[in-house]
Amino acid sequence: MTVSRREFLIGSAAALALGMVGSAPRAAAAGKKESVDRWVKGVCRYCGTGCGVLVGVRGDRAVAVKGDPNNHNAGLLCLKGAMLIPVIYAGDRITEPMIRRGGKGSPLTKVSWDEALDFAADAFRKALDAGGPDAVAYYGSGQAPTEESYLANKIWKAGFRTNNVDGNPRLCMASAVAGYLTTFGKDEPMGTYNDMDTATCFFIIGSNTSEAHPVLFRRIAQRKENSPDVKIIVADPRRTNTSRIADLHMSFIAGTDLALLNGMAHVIIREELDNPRFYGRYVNFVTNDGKPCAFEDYKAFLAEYTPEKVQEITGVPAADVIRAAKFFAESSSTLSLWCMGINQRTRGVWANNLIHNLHLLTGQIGRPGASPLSLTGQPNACGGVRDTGSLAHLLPAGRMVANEKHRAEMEEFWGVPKGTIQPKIGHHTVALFEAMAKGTVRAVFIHCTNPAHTLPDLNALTKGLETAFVAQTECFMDAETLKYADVVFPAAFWCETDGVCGCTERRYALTEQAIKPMGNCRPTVQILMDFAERAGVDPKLFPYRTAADIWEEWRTLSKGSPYDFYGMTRARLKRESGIKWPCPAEDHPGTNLRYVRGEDPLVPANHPDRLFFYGRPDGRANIFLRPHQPPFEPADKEYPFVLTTGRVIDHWHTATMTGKVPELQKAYPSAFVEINPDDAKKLGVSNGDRVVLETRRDKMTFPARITDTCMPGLVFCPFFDKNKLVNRLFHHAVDNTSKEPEYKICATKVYKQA
Amino acid sequence: MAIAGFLVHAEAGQCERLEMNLAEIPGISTFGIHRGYYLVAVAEAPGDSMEDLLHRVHCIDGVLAVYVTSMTVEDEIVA
Repeated sequence: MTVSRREFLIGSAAALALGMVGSAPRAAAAGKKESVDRWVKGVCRYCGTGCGVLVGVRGDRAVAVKGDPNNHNAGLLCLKGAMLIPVIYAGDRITEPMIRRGGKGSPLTKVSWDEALDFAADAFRKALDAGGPDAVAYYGSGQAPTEESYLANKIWKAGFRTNNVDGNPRLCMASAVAGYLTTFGKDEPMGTYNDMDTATCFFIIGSNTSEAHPVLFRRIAQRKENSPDVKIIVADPRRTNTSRIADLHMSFIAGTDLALLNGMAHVIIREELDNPRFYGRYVNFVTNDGKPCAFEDYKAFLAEYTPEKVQEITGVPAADVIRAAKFFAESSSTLSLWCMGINQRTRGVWANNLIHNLHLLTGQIGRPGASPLSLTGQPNACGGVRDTGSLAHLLPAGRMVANEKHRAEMEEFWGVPKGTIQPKIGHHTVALFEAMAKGTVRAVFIHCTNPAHTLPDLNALTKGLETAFVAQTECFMDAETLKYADVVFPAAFWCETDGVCGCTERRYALTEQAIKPMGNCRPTVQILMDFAERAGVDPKLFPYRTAADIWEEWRTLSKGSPYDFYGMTRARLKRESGIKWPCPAEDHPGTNLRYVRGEDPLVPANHPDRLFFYGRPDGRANIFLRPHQPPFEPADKEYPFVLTTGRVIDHWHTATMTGKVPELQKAYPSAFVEINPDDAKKLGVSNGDRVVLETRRDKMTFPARITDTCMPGLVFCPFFDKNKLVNRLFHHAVDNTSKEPEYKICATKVYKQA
Repeated sequence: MAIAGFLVHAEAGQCERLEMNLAEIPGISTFGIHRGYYLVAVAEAPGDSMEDLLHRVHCIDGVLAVYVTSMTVEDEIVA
């Protein structure tokens, strides 16, 4: 029998797909050579799911990608991940350094690396001379590998001596961080994706998992298919694809989720579905202003959140509030999942606390399938930014800038004089761009992110980019921020370099270098070190040759900390497809159930309690008495609709990558506005009509999509489209604690274009 | 020509009908129903129309999700 190459490839593709469902391949071609020279292990470049991928290399080119069967995704990928190869070879890759000799508005000119680096270093030196350490800043990314974020954090905080280090995770998961910190004392979830295989109830709120995390949605849907008795609750103002598998969809009025969550707690207590034995042993009750109180105070606080009152506030029928509470509390194991719908709120931290409250009130925590698991939006916001402390108020491994002891520990470890790290917290993202506009921050280094597209209230905040000197690493020419860049460094992309990413479930995984950087691109760690030395930072601070050297330092620093991953050597990460911390020793398998005796190596084996929340002084987590509060800008008579934003399945973030793949771009070529059919009828709008959204900041026109995905009074726009920067319409109010902006809610007028 | 292996996650009771629907789409071969709710399939199409093809599958009534397990574009890249 002869088999053509085409038949072989088809057979291989079918065999792989069959393998994913555990069936014996029956159509695979046999006895043929591999279609690539070698497969190189890595992590998908896109979302925070952190799917393992294998990059197929032939000669010096990447030619194929497939899911890593040994990682948590069990070999599956979504369309975006499967189409990563064409992104590498996109026609507008930036492959040469560029500077803007004539200042803002003048053309970018290709120059040598020396000229570009000197140009940026000179601007930073001048900024430092004129304004001191806080005149410079770093704005990083949850997409940059851990080594890059760790290095930048060290250079800026210990080298330039400024805490003006922030990044796009501030825009997506800062509220989740503060939620975990305030409730449990330490950031990052205690559960993992494994919980999806054992949970008997899923509570999904503020997450369109089916489009934003499709591979995780598969796991949830499969759980439901295998065990039809598993209950799925989806709470979301939009009726997205995620709700198609739900037993109960609660479509609440945007911005009323705090009342809904308190209403569920009210029912749980009223129906005696709470777990006094659990919270009596493991929980403190805390008032909204941080004072200790008793369970009876909490019960009294919840008294007003009757299902009927919650129905008035949220629009969710009282019977559904009761049903949801019973599903949650009566299940043998409930897993909560949430994402930007909860985090991107002016009360995002409170909303996170209230989800945790439900788990602590019912004891749905610390067992397989029972956990509050915040979903992450970017591939390395957790590992790269949260864990390395690359935000304005943080230091590595859970340390805080404001804590003198923590600063002293880092100064000693980094070998810099005492007092080097400033005690003053740096600018959070919105404040940073405001400071740039005012001229107090004169120079910024932007790495691996596109703030001119993603910041809220763009008309106001991009003034900072117009004013300050901007050095930027970027891979693609159509990134909106390039319009403001004074110098552009062509960074090696994804599998052109190596680095570790940490995803939602505390899993660290290595992407190995598969191919050489394109053109004149360089790995970012080299760019950062070369730039910093020219800008006057002592090179003794970064005695590294490779990213692996940086990992070795960071791994050592983690030893003995609550983020201990000392057991994850580079060699081990090359062998394995991701490991979940805590992992204190090379022979430790990683941890699935954090805070649980016998599971978490940081809980003493002889601890008297099964659970130990070691981030808290007394080992107890907090249930907070957080009241309902409306969003910053609810709909009103003048602006009667609520505008919300989000993703679509075929694009990721600002589409600088997915927009390069014609196949993906064609699926969603441009942004649109979803309008409920009842509203469309009242407005006289039909499918495809041009519709104006007018807010207090700006107005923009979108083609209409009439769909019942949105409830009446709500309109939705995806944010991927660089030609329709919907964030121009938004305010930039932030959460008091997390400083995360409220992208999910602003008031708008909606009318048909004349 | 790009070749993609993929799973179609079907809504309950829809697998047989979907298998017939897929068989009618040029460029798609099916490899049976598995676990009662997965259809295994392979799509062949020029790289710039693969997404259209998979999107078309995704939009068929009764399709809960489409999961790509591999994508080979070597002929187009190497050439």
